[in-house]
Amino acid sequence: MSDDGASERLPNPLPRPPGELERLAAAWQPPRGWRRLSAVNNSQVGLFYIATALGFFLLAGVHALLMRAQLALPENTLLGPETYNQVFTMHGTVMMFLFAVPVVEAVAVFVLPAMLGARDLPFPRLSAYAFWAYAAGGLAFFATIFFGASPDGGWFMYPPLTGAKQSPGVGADFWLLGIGFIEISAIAGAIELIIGILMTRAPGMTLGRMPVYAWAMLVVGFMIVFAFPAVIAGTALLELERALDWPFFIAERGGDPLLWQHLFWFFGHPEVYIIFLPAAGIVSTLVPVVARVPLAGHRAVVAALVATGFFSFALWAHHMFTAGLGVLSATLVSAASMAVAVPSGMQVFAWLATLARGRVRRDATALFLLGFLLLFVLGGLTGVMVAVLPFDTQAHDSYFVVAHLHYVLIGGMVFPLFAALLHWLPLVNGRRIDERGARQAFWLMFVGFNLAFFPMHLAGLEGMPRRVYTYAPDLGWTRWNLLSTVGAFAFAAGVLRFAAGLAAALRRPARDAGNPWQAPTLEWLPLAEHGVRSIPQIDSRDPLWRRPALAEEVEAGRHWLPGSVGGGRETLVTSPVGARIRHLALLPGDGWSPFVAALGTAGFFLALTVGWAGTAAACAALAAAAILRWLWDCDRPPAIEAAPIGAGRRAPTRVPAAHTPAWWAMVILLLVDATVFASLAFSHVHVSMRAEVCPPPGAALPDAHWPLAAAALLVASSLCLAGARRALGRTRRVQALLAVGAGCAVAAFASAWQGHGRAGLEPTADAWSATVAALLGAQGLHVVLVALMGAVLMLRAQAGLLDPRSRALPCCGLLWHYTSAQGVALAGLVHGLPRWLG
Amino acid sequence: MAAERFLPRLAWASAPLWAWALHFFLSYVLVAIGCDAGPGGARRLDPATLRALAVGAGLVAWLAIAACARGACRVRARHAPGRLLDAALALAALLAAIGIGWTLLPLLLLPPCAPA
Repeated sequence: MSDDGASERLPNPLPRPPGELERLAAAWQPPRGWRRLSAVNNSQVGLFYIATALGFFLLAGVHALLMRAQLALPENTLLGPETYNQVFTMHGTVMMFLFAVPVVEAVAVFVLPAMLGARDLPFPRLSAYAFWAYAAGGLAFFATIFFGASPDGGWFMYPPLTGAKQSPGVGADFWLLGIGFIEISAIAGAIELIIGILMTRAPGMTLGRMPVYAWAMLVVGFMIVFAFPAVIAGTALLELERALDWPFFIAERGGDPLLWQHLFWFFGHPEVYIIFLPAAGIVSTLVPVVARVPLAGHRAVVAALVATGFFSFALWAHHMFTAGLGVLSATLVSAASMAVAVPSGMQVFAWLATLARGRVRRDATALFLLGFLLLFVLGGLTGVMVAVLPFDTQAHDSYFVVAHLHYVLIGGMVFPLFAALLHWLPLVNGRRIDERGARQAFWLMFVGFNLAFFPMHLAGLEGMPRRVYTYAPDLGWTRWNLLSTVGAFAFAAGVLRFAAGLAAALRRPARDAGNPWQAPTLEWLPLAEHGVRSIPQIDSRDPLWRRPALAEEVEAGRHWLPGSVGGGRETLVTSPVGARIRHLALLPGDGWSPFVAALGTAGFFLALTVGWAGTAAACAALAAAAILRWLWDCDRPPAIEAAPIGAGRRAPTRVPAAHTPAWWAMVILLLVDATVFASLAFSHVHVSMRAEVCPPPGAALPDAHWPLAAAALLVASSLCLAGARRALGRTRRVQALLAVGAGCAVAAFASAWQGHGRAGLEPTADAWSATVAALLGAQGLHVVLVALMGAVLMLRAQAGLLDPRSRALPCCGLLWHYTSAQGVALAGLVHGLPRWLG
Repeated sequence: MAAERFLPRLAWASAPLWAWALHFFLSYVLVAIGCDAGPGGARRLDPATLRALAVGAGLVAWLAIAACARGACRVRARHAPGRLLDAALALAALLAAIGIGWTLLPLLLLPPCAPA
C-alpha cells in the first residue's frame, strides 16, 4: 500500500471519540506497590521473569567462580570434595533449568506481544502462574546449598549414583522434585507462546510475514512440548524408586540405569536447541537492524529452524556413545549429529550474507553479535568432533566436552542474549545502556571467555576429566587451569560491568523510546501499558521499513480496535496462516489466583521433598482452591455478542469452542500428556525387553476379563461425556450424564487396579512390575482429574454457566476422551507386549 | 484453524522432515529389536533382513520426499512463487534428503549387530 492511498482505507477514521484512549488505558492500568505481585499481563510478568532469570545467572556464576578458584592450583583445599560436588551440580542445574530455559521464554513473553502487534498473549494468567512457580521454587531450590542439602550427582543425575543407596540424603530429592517447577513453568510458557504466535498476530501478518524470532519461538514451543515430557517421566520414576523402592534403574531387579540416560537425554539434547534456537531467532532479528538491510535467505532460515527442531530429537544418544550401545545404533545418532550441522550452517551463512551486503553499525550490539558468530561456529565445530565416535570415546567426560558445551551455550546463547538486552532495553523505560560501558563489558567477556574455555580443550586432550575437585601437580594441567581461572574472573568482571550499565539505565527516569535503532518490527511502534493504541494491519515482512507512517497511524487510533469495547482487556484473535480477524478475545485483569496457586504448587513440591506430608497436603489444597477460583471466572457469557473494531466490522466475542485459544491450548497440553505416557510406555517396553521372560518370574498378568471390563467402562465414560455435550441446556440431564461418566472412569480404573492386584502385582519386586504400577498410577491421576472436572462441570451447570455455546465442556471433554484412550492403550500395551515378545 | 486447513498445510509443509524422522526412528528401532536376543537367545531378525528393511525404508522415504518437493515446485510455479510454506517444503525436502543419506551410510557400511 502506498501511504497516501492506504490512509484513506484505514479501518478507523479521525477524530477518535473523546475518552476512548482514557478508557483503554484504565482497563490496562497495572497494579502499583506490593500489589504488583498480582499483575496478570505478559509485559509486566515478562520483566519479573527476565530479572529473576538474570539473578539466577549471576548466582550460578558465583558457583562457577568458586569452582575455578578451587581448580586454579593443584591440590587446592578451598572446597572439599563434598562441597565441590554440590557446587558443580548446582552450577549446571541452575544454569540449565533456572536460567537458560526460563530466560528464553521470559524474553519471548515480554517481547512477543508487541512484536506480534497484540495487546497481550491469550493466557496471561498462565504466564503469571508459570513465573511465580518458577521464582518461588527456584529460590527455595537454590537455598539448599546453604544447608548442605543440595544435590551432588551432576546436573544429569545418573543413577545408580543418584539412587537411594548411593545418595541417601534429600539432595537428589530436591533436584527431582525441584525440577518439577521448571517443567510446569516451561510447559505453561510453551503453550502460551505457541497459541499466542499462531492466534494473536496482527491482521495481515501471515506466516510468510511473521518475524523470524516468532518462528524460532514457535519451533521452540513445540520442542518443549515433545522434549520436557521425557524428563517429567524420568524424574517421576527416579523419585518413585527413591521414595518407594520401585526398581526402575536397579539392574539386579530387572531395571536398567541406561533407561534414565535415554529419558534424560531425549529431553537433554533437544534442550540445547531449545536454548539455542531463540538465540538464533534473536540474531536473525538483530543482524538486519545492525546491517540495515533485510535478512538474507529468510525462507531458508525458517526452514533451517524447523529442520533443526526435528533433527535435534535424534541426537539424544549423542551423549551415550560410551554407554555400551551397539556400534550401528551409536553411528545412526552420530550421523544425525552431523546432519544437524547443515541447517545450523545455513543460518550462519544467512547472517554472514546479511552483514556482507549491509552497512554494519559499529556498536556494542554488533560486537556481541559478531562475538556470538565466532564462538558459536567454534563450538559447533567441536560439536562435530564429538559426534565422531572414536574421537568421542577419547574425549568423553573430559574437559574437552566442558569447553565444547560452554562455547555452544555461552557463545550460542549468552552473547545473543546480551545483544538482545542492549537492543530491547529501550522498550522498558526508553533508556539505553551506555555504549562505552557495553563495549568494555563485551571485550572483558569475549577475552575472558576465550581465556577461560579455550585452554579447557587442551586440558581435556591432555586427559583432565571433568568433575574432579583437584588434581596432582605433576599431571601438567596447572597452566591451563590457572589460565582458565584468570579468564573466568575476567568474564565475570565483564558481566558485572554489563549489569552495572543495565542498572544505571533502569534507574533513569522513563522517557518515550521512539525507534532508536530504526528497526523494522512492530515492537518499536509507540507502546503504553495497553500495548499499541490500535492493532496494526500488516502488509509486509518489515512493516516499519516499508511503511514509515505506520507508527503515526497506529498511535492516532486509525487501525483495528482503537479502544476497549467492553471496558476490559481485549485483543484480536486471528487465523493461524493468513492472520485474518476471527474474533475478540476477552483477557483477564490482574488478580491473586495465579500467585497463590503458584505458591501452593511450590510449597507442595518442597514440603513433599522434606517429608512434611501435612504441609504438602495443605499447599496442594491451596493451589487447587486458587486454580478452581481462577477457572470459575473463565468462560462467562460476554456482555456483548459482537464488538465494533473498525472498517464497519464487528468481531464476535463468542465463537465455537474449536476456534478458541483455550481449545487449542488443551490440544497442546494433551500432546504433552501423551508424550509423558509414551515415555512411561517406552520405559515399560525397555525393561520388558531386558527381562529373560515377560512377565518376569514372580509376576503375572491379570485375567483378560479385567482389562476388557476396564476398556468397556472407559468407552461408556466417553459416551456419557458425548451425551452430556449434546444435552447442554438441560441441566439435570447434563449433571446425570457427567456423574455416570465420571463414575464409569473411576470404575474402569478400579477394575484395572483390582485385576493387577489379584494377579499379585508387587512394584518393589522387579522393574517390570514397577513400570506397570507407574503406568497405572498415571492413569489413576487422570481419572482423579476426570472426576474433579466432572464435579466442577456439574457445579457450573447448576450455576447456569454451562450453556450450549460455552467452551468449558468441549475443552474438558478433550482431556476426558484422552483419559479413556490412554486407559485402553495401557491395557493393550501391558497385555499385548508379553505375547509379542514371546 | 479449520477454515484455512491449518493442520493439513502444516503437515504438508513438514512432510519431508516427518519422513526423515520416521525413517530414523524405524532404523533405530529395527536395530534395537533386531539385534536383541529373543526367546532361546536367537536374534529376532537376521542381519541381512534388518539391513534390507532399513535401507528399503530409506529409499521409500527418499521417493516420498522427492514427490513432496516436486509437488511444492509445481505449486510455486503455477500459483504463488513467494508462498513461504511451499518454499519451506522444498528446502525441508533438501535437508531431509541429506539427513536420510547420512542415516543410510552406516546402515550400508557397518555390520548391523556388532557389539559396542
